[in-house]
Amino acid sequence: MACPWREGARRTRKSWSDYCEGEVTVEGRRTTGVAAGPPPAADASRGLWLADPYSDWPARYPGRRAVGYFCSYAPLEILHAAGLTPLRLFPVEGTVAQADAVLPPFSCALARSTTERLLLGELSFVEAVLFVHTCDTMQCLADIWRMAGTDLKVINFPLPAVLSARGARELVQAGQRELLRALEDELGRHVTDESLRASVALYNEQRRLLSELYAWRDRLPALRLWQLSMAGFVMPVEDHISLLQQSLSVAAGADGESRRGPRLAIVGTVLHEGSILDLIEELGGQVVADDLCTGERYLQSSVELHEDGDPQTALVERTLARPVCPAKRHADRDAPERLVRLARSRGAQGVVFVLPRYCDPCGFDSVLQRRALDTEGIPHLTVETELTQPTGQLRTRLQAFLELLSPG
Amino acid sequence: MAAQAYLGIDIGSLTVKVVALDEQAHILGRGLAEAGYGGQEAAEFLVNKVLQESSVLPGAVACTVVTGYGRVRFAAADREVSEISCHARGAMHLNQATRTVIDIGGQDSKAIRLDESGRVVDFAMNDKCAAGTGRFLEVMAGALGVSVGQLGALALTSSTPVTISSTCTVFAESEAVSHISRGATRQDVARGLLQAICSRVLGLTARVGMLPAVVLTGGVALNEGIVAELSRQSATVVWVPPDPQTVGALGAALYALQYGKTK
Repeated sequence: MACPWREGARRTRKSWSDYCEGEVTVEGRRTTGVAAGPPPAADASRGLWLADPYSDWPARYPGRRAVGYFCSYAPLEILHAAGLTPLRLFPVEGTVAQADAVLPPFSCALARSTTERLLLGELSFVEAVLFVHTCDTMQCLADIWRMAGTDLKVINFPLPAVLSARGARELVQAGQRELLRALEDELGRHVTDESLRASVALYNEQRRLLSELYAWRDRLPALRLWQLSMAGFVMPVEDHISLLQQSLSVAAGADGESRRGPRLAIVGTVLHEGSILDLIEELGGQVVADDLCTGERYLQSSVELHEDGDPQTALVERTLARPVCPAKRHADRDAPERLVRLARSRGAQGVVFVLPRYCDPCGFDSVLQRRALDTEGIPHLTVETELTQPTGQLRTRLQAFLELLSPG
Repeated sequence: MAAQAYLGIDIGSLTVKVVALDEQAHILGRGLAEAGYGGQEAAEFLVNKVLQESSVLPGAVACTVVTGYGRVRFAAADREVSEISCHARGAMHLNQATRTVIDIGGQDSKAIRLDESGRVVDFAMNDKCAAGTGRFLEVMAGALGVSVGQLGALALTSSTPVTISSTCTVFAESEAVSHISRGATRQDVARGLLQAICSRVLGLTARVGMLPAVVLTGGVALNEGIVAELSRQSATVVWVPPDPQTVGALGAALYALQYGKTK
């Protein structure tokens, strides 16, 4: 239909093309232009890989023995030192039907989606799964998976609810010892001090490179940074280190951008779907900080291992010292206070909570965090996610939030 | 030379609305039509109709702002602004005392809090569920065998409303049906349904804090039963502007006026 009033209309909507060049397709959907240049070859060849990292994992990494895990408290160094390849289990888009028969209706997308995969036999290549006792769901899921009638070995890793409590250190130490025993008895994998030292060094290097990349948030689209982080959870750490090195060398050659638009901090847990980050930038906002299990919480704090130190003790210390997840408490690390400090230190004007539906640790934490932000006069928006997000309403809410933060 | 015009287009889930303003923010014309599939064609058709009826030459449109769910795909606009900001701007223009806007549209409801200058300071939207929206009313009117227009008047004649406790549209409908099968009158079920919607909407409003003056916008504001029930439950005067459905489009047109003058 003809639109005569369209003539002379000048489009001034802000879009990616305003500050990024080029457009790449990763995961089969349009993503942002990459300010820091073309995607690294190792990543570009992966096609639909992040959208579903599991279906072709054995073909992608032949000879690798995968051990599944859910939580960033999992001591990956120990699993790696045992000659296994840690593979993080994330929700994957798709219908959930069988899992609903074995789970209560208030289960989060992470529990529902991964259990569906398990019951459909799509995780049969995974030898064992490590359940770290973070939230109630993880603890109960361990039993459901153990009794699911598959060959999968289930290993439990207890973690104290209050990480600063008396006896917490001993409990984590015992958990690590028990994990080593399970790896030996059930999977026939022995971990030597030497191999553990080597693995500690590798993961420290991975976190160091990630930290460097995160320091260049203004050179990378937020979705790209998310992709590069997520890749590390589903690929061997050695490959991830190469990927990060390539990405860093590309980013180093790029100019820092003078981005405008409201500065946001993203808060939540596992961010299994990165499109919200793209949407924020498309709508003219910028992500300057995060408190996410798959983001900054993972890369902060390394394992302090000195030449003649004991690697196991060093791992315990990192578990106790790392940023606290919503399912845990630490006397010196109050979640609301930490969030206010994060927002202030990065100059975030607003906070977006991206909370999975039925995640009660996140939900309870966010009540106190929102109150603290209100006291500080920092506006916030809460977005509840499931496996997928209806984008129409999300777009409206994010756009309105960015308008609220914009002058004029 | 013809005066310049500023267009606001609101492409909602059920209807599209268009408002054309002159440079003094006087309304030159406005219109409303069913959105049909996606709303794009309906919006273009309605724009042409409104321009024609208000004798505005297409070339005299200085700036166009689009809002509503269909805004993203609508190419023939200079800017897109969220419904939240547009409803706030429109309501503030109509009533300078506005501090709270409740907008109940076809597929979602919103509560918006403004400061004295009309700036949005907080907002809340219903989540994915359609309870407490125009669509809910349509489904319930169907269950009661009346038109949506009759539902409000019907509810106002009831003094012994039934209790509808479910907040889900589908479950609320089956709750209503079970009341009907137990012999409850249409009036009592209608009022029970409206009470359920209103308590849900007020729960949403409580999240942002409800300060007077409270302005109700969107198509559901035409339902007298809802207005009465919202006022009763909140013990606050709820003001409905004339033509509440076009408040978002009016806000968009006011943005067009602002952008058109500064561009």
